[in-house]
Amino acid sequence: MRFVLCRAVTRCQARRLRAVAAAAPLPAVTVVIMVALAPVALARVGVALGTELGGALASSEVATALVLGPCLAAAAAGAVLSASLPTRAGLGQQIAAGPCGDRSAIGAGLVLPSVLAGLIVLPSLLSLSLALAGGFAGGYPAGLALTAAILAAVPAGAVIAEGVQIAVRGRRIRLLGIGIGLGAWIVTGSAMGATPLGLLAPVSLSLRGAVSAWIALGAAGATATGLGIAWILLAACRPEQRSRATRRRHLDAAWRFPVPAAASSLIVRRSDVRQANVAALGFGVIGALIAVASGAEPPGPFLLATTTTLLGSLVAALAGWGTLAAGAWMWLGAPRGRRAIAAITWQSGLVAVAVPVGIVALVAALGSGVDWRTVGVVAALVVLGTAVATITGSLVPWQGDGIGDQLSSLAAFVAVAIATSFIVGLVVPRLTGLGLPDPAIVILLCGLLSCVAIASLLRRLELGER
Amino acid sequence: MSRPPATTSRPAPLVVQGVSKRFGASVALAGVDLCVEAGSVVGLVGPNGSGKTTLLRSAAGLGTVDSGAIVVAGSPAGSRPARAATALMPDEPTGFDELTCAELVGLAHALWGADQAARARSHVLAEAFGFDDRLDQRLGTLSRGLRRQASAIAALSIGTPLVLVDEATATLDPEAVVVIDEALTALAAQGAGVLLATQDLHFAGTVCDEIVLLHRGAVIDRGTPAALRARHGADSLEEVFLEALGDGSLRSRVRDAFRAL
Repeated sequence: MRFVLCRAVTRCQARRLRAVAAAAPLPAVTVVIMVALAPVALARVGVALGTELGGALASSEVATALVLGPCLAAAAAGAVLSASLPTRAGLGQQIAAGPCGDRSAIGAGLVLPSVLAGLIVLPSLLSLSLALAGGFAGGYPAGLALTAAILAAVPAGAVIAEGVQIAVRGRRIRLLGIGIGLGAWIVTGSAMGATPLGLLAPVSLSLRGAVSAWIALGAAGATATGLGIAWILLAACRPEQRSRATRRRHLDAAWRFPVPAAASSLIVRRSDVRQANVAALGFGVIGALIAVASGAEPPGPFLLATTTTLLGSLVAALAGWGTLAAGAWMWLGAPRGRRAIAAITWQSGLVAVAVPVGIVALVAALGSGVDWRTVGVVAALVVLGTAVATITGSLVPWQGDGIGDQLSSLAAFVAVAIATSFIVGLVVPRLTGLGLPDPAIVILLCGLLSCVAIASLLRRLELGER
Repeated sequence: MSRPPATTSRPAPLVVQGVSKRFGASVALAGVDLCVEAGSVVGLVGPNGSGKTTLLRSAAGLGTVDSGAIVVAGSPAGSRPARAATALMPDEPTGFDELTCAELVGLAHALWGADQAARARSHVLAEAFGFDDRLDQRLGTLSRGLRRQASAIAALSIGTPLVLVDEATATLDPEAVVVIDEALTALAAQGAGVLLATQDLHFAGTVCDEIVLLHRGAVIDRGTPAALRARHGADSLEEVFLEALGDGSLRSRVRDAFRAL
């Protein structure tokens, strides 16, 4: 039964991806080429970073920060995965009513997206980590341990997100279990001198050569496996959402509900977007607090907090097209220009992404201080990130109830992000060479990618539903 | 059922001329001709897959046709003036899970630039459906029937010259069917043209001025309910339907086949 379900779900996902690639062959080929080339470029980045940081690694704080930064980002990504994980209901009513277990349903939905994400992310991550650690005392095995630690942070973030849902939905015993696990994490990390890293603390020690990298790799691998199992178990028994009391309003109150407000409401009220935003805010604030507490110099805390939040809040932009596509019968039937609808979707996604980042930015700025140049960098990242997420969302739509659709969208997001970084990396040095000032280049890139995002939404609207 | 004839010189709400559409090898529409005059209700009746929804979607500008022309209130279907003149009540009003019923109606009014009369119509429909207590409920929490009622309030309140209704009575309770029946009749009496697709032959016989029978994308018969019954020598529209499809002995064939098992 388990394999029958797994095969059927995987076949659905594979056919959907094939249809997506067939509908947009040029972007698909470009993404594949960029993903294939990314490990080479990242290896060069890793070597440069390793050479630069090699001397500073004697400080345990630097080693901890080197592991913590990517782990926080991975944890935010894990929280997003948790919010988007299709449960049994994602199989559709007819199959969900059949004799299949919740864990089988979740596992079946995870196979192809995991393989895809592995193919897209793992080579780049390995390449960067190995090149980076090659210049440290721990050597290449410590790079393997760093990769495993970043991977372990994904289910760690997902488990915390499940914990938030459990807390909100009032399941005290399960919450107590997560609390005990969190306590053990902190105690272990504290004993090894890297409290926030918990069970992953040996990884930061291995980078400095203080602990065998193979032990660190074992610890990170075991943590990843344990947390992965815990995540699936928790997701399989996720409690029902509580119904909320609503304010009584008259029909007149929503008389002519403005289109931008309606589009924004549709996106930010989605439960997956809401959960991702809560997780992004949480991890962002935690990142800022850890950075401030460890005495990191400005703008370190600001950058760590805002980029972590950005990663989680980008789900709102990723969900833009999928949210609209479900109601295409009204959007496409309405006497509005399709360009206006596409622009409104883009704008709603941008606002939905910018608000949580703005809140965390304010907290981080108050805690550690920041200069206007850094604020500009983060603002540009918000616009560029939203554009990449919107483009991805229009290529591989993020839908409400499709089996594994969200996970496929996330995998595609990583691929498009890598491809975009690659193109930006090729173009920017040439623009600088032409004598353009940095702010002009950033504004040009933001404008260009925003136009591409709106054009990709428009193309989808003109193609019709889905 | 007779209604006052259209007295204005405005173009007909919907004119379909020689429309054909294929999905790969399968024929969805094959040279369909149809006219929905102002003040009339036309019913599309036919087996599943006969092209009813394809025709409605094409008229609403949600899909294109391979050949032929669809003109809505004087403009090509899918153009902005045509979309402004059309309201659709779909079979599956998906999406908008996160909006409340009142917000969905408000969004439709904003998109179509509806007037005060639309607001009054939405009040009447909400009250008639008994929807006052549900206006603040999110659409995602409603049953399919209730979602269709919410989309009916939105579509039937806008006041467009053409109203398209897919699977008019599907999943609706008898009270809601009465509301839809009366609302469509009233809209037609006020000069709108209504094209509805339905499998409910009793409803079609009651509300429609003309019934168009579709089979494999082609029109195989048309006329008023009374004229169709007379032409086929039938007592009910079900008999007309089966006769027109050449399946008059369907009941006995299935019954005998099951008995033989």
